[in-house]
Amino acid sequence: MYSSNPNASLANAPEITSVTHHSMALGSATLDYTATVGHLNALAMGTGTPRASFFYVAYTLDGVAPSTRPITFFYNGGPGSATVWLHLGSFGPKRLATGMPATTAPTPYALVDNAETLLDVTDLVFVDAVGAGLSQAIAPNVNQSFYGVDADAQVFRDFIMRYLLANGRGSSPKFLFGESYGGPRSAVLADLLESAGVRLTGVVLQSPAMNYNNNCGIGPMSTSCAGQIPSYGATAAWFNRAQPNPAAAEVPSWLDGVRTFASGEYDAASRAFIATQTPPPATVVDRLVATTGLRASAWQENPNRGQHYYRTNLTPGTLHGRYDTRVTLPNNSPPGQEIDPSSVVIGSSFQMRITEHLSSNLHYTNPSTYMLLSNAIENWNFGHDGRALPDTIPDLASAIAQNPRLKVLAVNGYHDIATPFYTTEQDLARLGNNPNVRVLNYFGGHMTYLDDNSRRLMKADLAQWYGSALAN
Amino acid sequence: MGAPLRTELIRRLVAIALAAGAATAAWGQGAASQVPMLDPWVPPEVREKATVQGSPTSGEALRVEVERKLRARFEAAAGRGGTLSREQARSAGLGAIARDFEAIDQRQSGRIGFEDYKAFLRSRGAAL
Repeated sequence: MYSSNPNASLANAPEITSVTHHSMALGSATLDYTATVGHLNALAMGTGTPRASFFYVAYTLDGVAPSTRPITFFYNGGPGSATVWLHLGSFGPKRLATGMPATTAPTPYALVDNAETLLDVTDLVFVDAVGAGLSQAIAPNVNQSFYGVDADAQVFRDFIMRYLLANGRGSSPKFLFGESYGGPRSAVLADLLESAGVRLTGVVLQSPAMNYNNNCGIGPMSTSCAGQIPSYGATAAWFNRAQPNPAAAEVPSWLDGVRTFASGEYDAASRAFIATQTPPPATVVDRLVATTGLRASAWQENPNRGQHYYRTNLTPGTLHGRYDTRVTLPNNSPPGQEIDPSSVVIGSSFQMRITEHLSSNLHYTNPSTYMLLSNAIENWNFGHDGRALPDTIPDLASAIAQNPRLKVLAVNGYHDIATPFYTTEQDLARLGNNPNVRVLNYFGGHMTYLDDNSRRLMKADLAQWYGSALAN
Repeated sequence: MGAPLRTELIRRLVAIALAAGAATAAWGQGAASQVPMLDPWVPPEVREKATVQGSPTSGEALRVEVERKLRARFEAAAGRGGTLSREQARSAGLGAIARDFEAIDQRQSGRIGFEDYKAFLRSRGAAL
């Protein structure tokens, strides 16, 4: 039985797969593809000893030469999350019709053919981290052995190298697509893969937390919330609470001024408050009220307001989502234990549908429960390169130093206050003026792809980006 | 600041997630089978011990940090100030160096030092 327990391990790890053949219409074309589901073991570099059994679902297009066909490895974050959100929510051949940010779609959400699948552009491999999904450590290792920034990236490297070798994909153009914690994982992993001789073509960072020390929701307690302010602005604008309120089409350009304010006057006031409890100047408070919709007294009392305060106080009696502030529910939570409306409304459908999809559509059966979330996050070693909390921009910079043609694309949602878009922009700006590094923002939350309109825009942008990366 | 979530709460929520996975028969329209997603998240005791260490590196400071990373990896195989043969690079897992060895080894000596590697990366466009 597979288990997400930190101390669990497999005595033996059979590499059993289920292979099924499928067909779908995409525009005027028909995509014939193969789904391969099951386990493949990551082997220790050097000794070849199996260390972890990875569970994956691969969708590969039929009738094309694997040697030149791009391949993309997808993974969610957490750490401890299974890759169910990207698998059934984003660019696979099927997706759940969530109708986000509306909460009126019937649940459990229907699994539908995905008109925005990336399968016409790249083969897709959705892989679960150790301890999540059905991935598990192999004895004498235990799941906990891989619960750390470095150990996790190393074992992902070993899985990807094994996958490429086992499937004859060594010469395929290779891409990584990680979300949330999957972003910093991608940075560390890209550095390790490049060093090991696996040349990547591109890395997509979906709502990444590249530097934990630059996000006041997860960083050291004295971290400025400057990176959050533009996301509060986008939220206020969505609910017609900004003064004056920009029209939806004007929001992206309106946010330019908010960025300038956030990194300038606001950041100075916030840092002064953190250092010496200095109250913010009235001009800063006025601008915060007009930008964020939160009342003046809240900002006067503490200008460094994080996501929790904002989403629980913006609208009395209402909770806004952390992943997507556009999603709201009446606030019936005990103080301090507020749910995330944008998370709770989707979770059950994903749990139910992944189980069903694996067995009914992909003919994969396993008596163990597919684990959406382990408790790895509680036991994680966040230390990396001398810092208590990871800053993975140097890892990404190291990957680029080893492969200066590497393309990097970050995609973010304006209404995500878990990993704010402006924080990501600030993080990637550290790489300097590199034309291979881009940031694109969309209306939406952490999982921008759940928004039907944004997913359509993303598909078009990603198809173009893949094309330019392959020509790079 | 972040939600004052406690370990016990996480445990409880994870337990709910486990129950939701095991008992799809209990599926309902209510919030009883919530699957929580907290990421990214850091346990409070870890956050409280962490400190802000100056400004995030960029420009020359980031370049120095990258060089330190690459040098540390090279020297883990070669020893401090040491050199590598292609075979040593390969057996140490430095596949990229083994792959590009001839181009790195401009002197055709069969051994390369970190400065040879750095010069090679620079010649390929690295901002090192």
